[in-house]
Amino acid sequence: MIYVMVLIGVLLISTLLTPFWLGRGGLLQASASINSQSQLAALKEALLKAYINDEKAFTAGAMPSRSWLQRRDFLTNRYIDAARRLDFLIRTQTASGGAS
Amino acid sequence: MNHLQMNGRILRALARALLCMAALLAAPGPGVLAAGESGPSDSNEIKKIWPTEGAKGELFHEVAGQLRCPTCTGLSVLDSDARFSQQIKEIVLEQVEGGKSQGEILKYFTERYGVWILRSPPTTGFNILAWALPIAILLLGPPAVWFFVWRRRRVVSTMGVRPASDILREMDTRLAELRR
Repeated sequence: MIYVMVLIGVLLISTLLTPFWLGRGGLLQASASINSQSQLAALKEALLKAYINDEKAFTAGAMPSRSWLQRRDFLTNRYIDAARRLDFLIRTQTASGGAS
Repeated sequence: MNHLQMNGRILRALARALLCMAALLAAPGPGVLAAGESGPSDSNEIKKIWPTEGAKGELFHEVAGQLRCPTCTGLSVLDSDARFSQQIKEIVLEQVEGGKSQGEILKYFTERYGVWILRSPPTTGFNILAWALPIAILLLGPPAVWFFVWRRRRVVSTMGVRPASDILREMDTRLAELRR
């Protein structure tokens, strides 16, 4: 019985954490783990495009208001996250003389 | 004299002493009150009416209000009925009736008791500090606190990272461009 409970626990935790591994390079990847300025700039643009698309979907009535608000907050926070990481990289990589 | 006679004498002496004490407590006369320096004065002095009207009455009130009651806490001699205050008021009244000015009367008391007798410290010499210091602390205190806090502030390096408000402004600008 105890083995079954441990197995269920491991599967549950794995399920919860899976998006962070599978989503590497995608929107779920934390900006703090990206060390490329160009990649971060591209991420910022992708987030803006996603924002515009979702906004259009909401305006067209294809997305409920609650979902739009959640998406808007999510994309805004991700944008801030990426921009701050990019600022940091520009500062540190410029100071150390290297840029990716 | 046997022991019984001695005990009787002692008991009678004790009884007399107790009776005397009870009589003194039940009816305290002027003699008892006179023993207390700061207690209320006798009935003649309590009934004494101090001048209130006219120029002399105003001067008396003005001067007596500026003199500190030596045996009270925070009271002027004008507001106090203590024996010492009554005496001071009598002297003040004498001097007022003698035609002395406020300054002369106050000088008379400060020469005898020092500036302590005045309820408000004079605004001359070293005593001016008593007036100037609270005002100076009130005026200079907040800037001084601000200055020391400002000097001890920590400069936090943000490593070039902008505040979120700036990034949001940038995001709004880019979104407006994309919407066009």
